[in-house]
Amino acid sequence: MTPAATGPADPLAPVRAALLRAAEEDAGRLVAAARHDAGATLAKARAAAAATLREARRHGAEDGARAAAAGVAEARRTARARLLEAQADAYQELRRQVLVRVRRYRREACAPEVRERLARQVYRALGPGAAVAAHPAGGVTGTAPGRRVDLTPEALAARVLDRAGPGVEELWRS
Amino acid sequence: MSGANGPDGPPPVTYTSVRELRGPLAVVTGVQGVGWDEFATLTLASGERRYGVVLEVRDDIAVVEVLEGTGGMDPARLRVAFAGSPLTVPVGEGWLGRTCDGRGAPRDGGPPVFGRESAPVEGAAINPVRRRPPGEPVLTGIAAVDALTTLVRGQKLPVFSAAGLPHLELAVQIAAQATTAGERFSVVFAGMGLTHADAFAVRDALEERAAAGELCLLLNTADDPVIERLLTPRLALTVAEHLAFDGGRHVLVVMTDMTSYAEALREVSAARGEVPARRAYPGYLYSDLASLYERCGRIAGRPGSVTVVPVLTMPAGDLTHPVPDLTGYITEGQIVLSPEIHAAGVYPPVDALSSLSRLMRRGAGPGRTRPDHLDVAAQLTAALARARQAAELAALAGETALSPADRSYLALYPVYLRDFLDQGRDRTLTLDESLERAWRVLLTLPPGELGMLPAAVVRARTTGAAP
Repeated sequence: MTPAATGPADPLAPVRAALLRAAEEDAGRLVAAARHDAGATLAKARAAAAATLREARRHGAEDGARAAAAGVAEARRTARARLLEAQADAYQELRRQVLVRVRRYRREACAPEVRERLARQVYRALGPGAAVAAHPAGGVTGTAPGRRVDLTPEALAARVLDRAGPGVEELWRS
Repeated sequence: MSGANGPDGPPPVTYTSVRELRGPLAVVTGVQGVGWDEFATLTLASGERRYGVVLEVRDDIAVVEVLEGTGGMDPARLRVAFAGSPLTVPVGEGWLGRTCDGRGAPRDGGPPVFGRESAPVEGAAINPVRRRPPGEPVLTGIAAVDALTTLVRGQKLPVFSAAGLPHLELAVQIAAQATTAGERFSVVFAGMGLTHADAFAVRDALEERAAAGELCLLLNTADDPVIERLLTPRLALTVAEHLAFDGGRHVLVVMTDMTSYAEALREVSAARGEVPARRAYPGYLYSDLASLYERCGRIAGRPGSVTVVPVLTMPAGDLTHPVPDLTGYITEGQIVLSPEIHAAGVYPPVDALSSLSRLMRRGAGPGRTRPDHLDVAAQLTAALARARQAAELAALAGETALSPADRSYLALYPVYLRDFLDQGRDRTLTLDESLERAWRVLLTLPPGELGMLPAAVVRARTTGAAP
């Protein structure tokens, strides 16, 4: 009987070692690749986050600018509307004061003479046959068939103010 | 707003013999010396004042159309005063920043408009002998207009549209954006027959420019009296003429909708019992439209200019309808809006191949806008014409049967719609931006197809080399 040949205690040890080494190298490569991937993903995510932030800032700035422009426009419109209202109020007040002053003539010494001049104007417009009557509010009215002339303080004041022109604007310019 | 009776003349006679009221008409008897188109003031028993225009006079009877209508009037207690002349209005800078109705009464809560001088609203066309030819551009901030159909100072360039198209938006956008590059510029916007919603939208969009003192807004709504609609464009032009020729401004008058104006003219003509002509419009429609359009222009020896952009809708899209037809005879080109382009969702839907500014060469090109402007406009228009031909050919023979050049033109059209024409309602483009958009479209073609442009300029654009 031939004795068994003597060999390494564990004949598979080199194979195992080689496999282990290869596995460790693979694992190292995988870990490195994973680390690289993680780094790249992280960098990409950071870049995306920065881009999103930039975009959000841009949108925010645009929205803000739009809102600010709309606010300014609205404020300008409101100011303009108030200015026009104030001018209209001033004009109405002028009309009221002019009417008050014109009505005062009735208490003045020249009232009869004024009434006479107004009556002459009625005859000029409607002819000598016109009927002239004193108006309770002052002034006179003249009538002829189908025609009428109004020379009351209201009518005279309105006539003058309608032709006042840009002088009225001095109310809010001065 | 007034008539001719001076403060030192005889006191105004008021007539009390109103025979009848019929619809918006008041029939006054026993009148003396009253003429057609004379302005009248009607005072009700309550003291309320309304205004009217004399439509017809026969013997001692005058028919007055009451602008505010005759509702609530008692003929027995009505007083009618005639001004002795057609409507006159104060003129000057007082109109800037104001919103008024079609006869100039404030709609903005402010006082009446004042001015150092008065002028008849009826006005008159500029004496042809004293005219200076239109020249220099009015920039609208709209690529399709500025680059391809440039509006020139003193020109009349209508917008032809149809129901459902955004012509009002375009008119408002032009009024809000137009400028004359640093020179004094104002806009008078006359809206005729607008719905209340449209009138609100117009006022909202233009209020900022009005608040800046650059714009006057005259709004005649659909429910306002038709005779006021006839006064609206005349008032706008009267205001514009004085801002331009006395104030030295370049003034753009936008008038919309002229079809609504012509319908008002037809209604008044029928009320006057005149013999109707084509489609029942009065026979004098042509001369009436000309009396408005010919009030624009430039005057020799005077500063400023009046440029008119009338907007009109073609009923059923009919270009032969009397209003666009007669307008086309008088004006100097047209901007046509297209339902197909509008359906594609593109704004403004300007049909460049049907649009034309006959005076463009007087307002664009070297020394006026940019040296390459006219060449770029011509090349882009030619390319669009070729693209249309290619599309027709492709519809017949199929796209594969087209030559490579035709295929490049076919591909150009959507790029043109997207990158040139479509600019949105809120965006103002500078002329440079508009022309650069045109260049981007043109550079999608092979360089050999750009024969209308200087070769050196094309080379510089395609290779980056200096021209």
